[in-house]
Amino acid sequence: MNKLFMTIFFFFGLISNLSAQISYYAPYGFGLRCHQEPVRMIGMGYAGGAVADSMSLNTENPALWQGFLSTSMQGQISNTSLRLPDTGFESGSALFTGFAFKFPVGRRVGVALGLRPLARMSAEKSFGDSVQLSPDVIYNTIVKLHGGISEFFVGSGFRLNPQTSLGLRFQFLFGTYVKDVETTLTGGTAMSSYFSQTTAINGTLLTLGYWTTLTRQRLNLGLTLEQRLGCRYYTHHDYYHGPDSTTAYHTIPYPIKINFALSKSFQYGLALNADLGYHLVDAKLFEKFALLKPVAAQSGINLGFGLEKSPARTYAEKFYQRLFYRIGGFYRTEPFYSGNVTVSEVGVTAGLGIPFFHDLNRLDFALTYSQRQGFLDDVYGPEHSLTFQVGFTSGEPWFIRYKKR
Amino acid sequence: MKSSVWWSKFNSHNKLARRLCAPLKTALLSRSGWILICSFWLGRCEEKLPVLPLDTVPVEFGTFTIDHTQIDDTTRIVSSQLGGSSYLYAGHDDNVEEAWSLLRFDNLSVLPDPLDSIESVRLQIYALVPLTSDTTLEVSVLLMDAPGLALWDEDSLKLEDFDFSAYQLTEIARFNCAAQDTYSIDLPDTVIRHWRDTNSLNQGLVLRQSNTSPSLGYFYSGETSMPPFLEVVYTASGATVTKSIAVSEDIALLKYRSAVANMPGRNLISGGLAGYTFMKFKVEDLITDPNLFIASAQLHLTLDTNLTRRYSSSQIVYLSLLDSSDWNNPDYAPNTSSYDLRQTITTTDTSVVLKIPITIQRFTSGYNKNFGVSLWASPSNVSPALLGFHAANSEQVQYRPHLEILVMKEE
Repeated sequence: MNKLFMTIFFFFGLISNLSAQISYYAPYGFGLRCHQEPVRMIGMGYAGGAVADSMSLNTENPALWQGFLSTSMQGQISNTSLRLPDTGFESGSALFTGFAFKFPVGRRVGVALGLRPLARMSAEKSFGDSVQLSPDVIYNTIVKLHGGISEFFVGSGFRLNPQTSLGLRFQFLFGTYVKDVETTLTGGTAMSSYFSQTTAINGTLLTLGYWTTLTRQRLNLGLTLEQRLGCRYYTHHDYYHGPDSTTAYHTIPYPIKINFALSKSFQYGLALNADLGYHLVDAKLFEKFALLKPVAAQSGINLGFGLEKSPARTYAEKFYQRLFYRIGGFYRTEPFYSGNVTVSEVGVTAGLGIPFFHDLNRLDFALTYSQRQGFLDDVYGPEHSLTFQVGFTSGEPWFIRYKKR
Repeated sequence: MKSSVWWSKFNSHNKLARRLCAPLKTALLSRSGWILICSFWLGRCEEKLPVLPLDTVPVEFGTFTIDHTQIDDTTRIVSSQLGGSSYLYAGHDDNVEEAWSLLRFDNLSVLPDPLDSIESVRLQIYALVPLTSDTTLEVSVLLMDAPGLALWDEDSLKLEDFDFSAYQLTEIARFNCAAQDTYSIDLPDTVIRHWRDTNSLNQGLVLRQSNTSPSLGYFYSGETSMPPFLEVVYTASGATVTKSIAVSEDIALLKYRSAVANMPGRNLISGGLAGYTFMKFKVEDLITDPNLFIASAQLHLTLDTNLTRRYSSSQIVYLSLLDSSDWNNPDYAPNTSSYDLRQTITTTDTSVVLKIPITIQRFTSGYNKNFGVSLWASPSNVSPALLGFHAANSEQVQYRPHLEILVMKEE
């Protein structure tokens, strides 16, 4: 009961605090991407597409959704502190970054489903001025932009043989972006007006996953291809006065993602993991889908690598001997740019995994420090982010068949 | 005890470490501890939103002017019904040709029948400062009889329908009204018997100016907390009794000078005259986007100071929407509980700016069909005051009304 209570409180309670990921680059494109990867991967520099995890779900590669030893629920949250040394801006936000449920179906098949945010944006600006009249009309306009995309995913993995497995994942995208323009008028007559523009997006993606292990070389390889099946949006204009209007659906060429991953094991439980991802982005994407103003789009890359020290398989007396230790680094670019200046982020990570209750549960922590640079450097300078993530996996040995001896 | 000894005893068996770690251990292992930790964590997530990279304000302003060529206006003078007014009037001046007040006292049943003897009958009435106070107002109290005529009542009586020649008027008292005070006017004691014991209907009394000097006075009516009443002193069974009989019906009849109501190129607003100014602004031809926000709409009106009579008091003007049939309705009366604007016009104003963005928004956004607006004065505190404005066809072009509109569009 305690475990259930803690899980519900810890994750669902935090959904109410859906604060946006904060960055000055958040109003562009689909918004700033969330830390939706598993916390274990984040601790290893966002690398781990080839890392099999029987306890906690590796949400990135559906080919690994088999061979589960337990039925589990997992969730994760992140807390980001943003600092801009050039402007003195400092802020913090908490964000629910994913929930997943997995269960085994026999020894060779597993099924998983979950919910996670993909991108978030939130920013505002206030304008104040007057219009010459008698008496002058003074106006104060506040523009707020917030919203994002989330996905519900469901999929399955199938082990072809002990060395190879395939996986399939359907992702159903949904989200809204709201731009509010609120104006207060004083001088002469005190009045207020607002205009709200809501852009609703939905779509379906399909991810194919492949995973293989080269036993002799102690090397695991993973490959995923995320392809859009359809993605579209419409916009609703809500005026304070006059009729509202809704546009027809427009299709979006949602980016296609390819990710190649490897995991090489060494002695003493050490493993080196690396991921290389490529996002194929339509150059006109954010001219068609422009919430604030059109920007150019380009394909992006994700590069991550990390080391993980797994606990010894034998009984360990000391607490610290039973933990996972991770470090890593990453580099990635955003799919939008302006003035030929790409937005890139480089950072280092560290992580810790604490398995407990017969290795059916695990608490993962990750700490990320990154620096983001791009076309706003001239105005705001580089952004420094310190992010702390917590992931919790609660497993039970349901649906497991035990042989009678 | 030496401190080192005390410390050794206190910290024996590593008690201190355990004491220090106990709260932390409790926090980590208990449900409430986790709640506290999470609350603390969330509490520090004070989100400050980054500034949107917007260079220009996403709203645009524009101005429109509705000049006199795009304004239809007229003055509608309807049959005034002043029974609900708080004031009664008597006298005349250069604005009002003649003003009378009718009073009826119906509740005579409070008096015993038969009366042994009536000692006195007095009319008590509270007069305010005379509106036109250059001369003393001399008021006659007339007994009104009309054999064969039905009783008048304040809710339906109109000036046009009232014919004094059909009534027999008998002066029964006279008093001078020079200052604000309660006046007690002795009436002949026969007036009670006349109303109660004869066959003719009790048509009441008339207050009417008896001198010819221009003077206009006014009194509190039965709609106020200081109504006129009769004070009757009589003897019954050897005892002297005083009874008060409140006024049952009362109404002022104001007859304006004909030159006032029919001045070309002018619009009038008056409660006493029941004069309403109708105006229609052809805004739909100019503002065709229903989503434009009317940030300001200023209707500029210029008062004709020669025509205007304010009697040294501010006037309140209301603006309300007209219905499809109002423009041609000879009995038009504004809905006093629903209006778009209420504005005070002081005694020194020579021009008025009425801010009516809400009204214009109704028309441009299609919330209301544009049948025009009505400008009117409050009928509850009817005053003989009259506000005269230059109309769209005023011979003085610079004083014609016009409407300035500021629109805003959010992008």
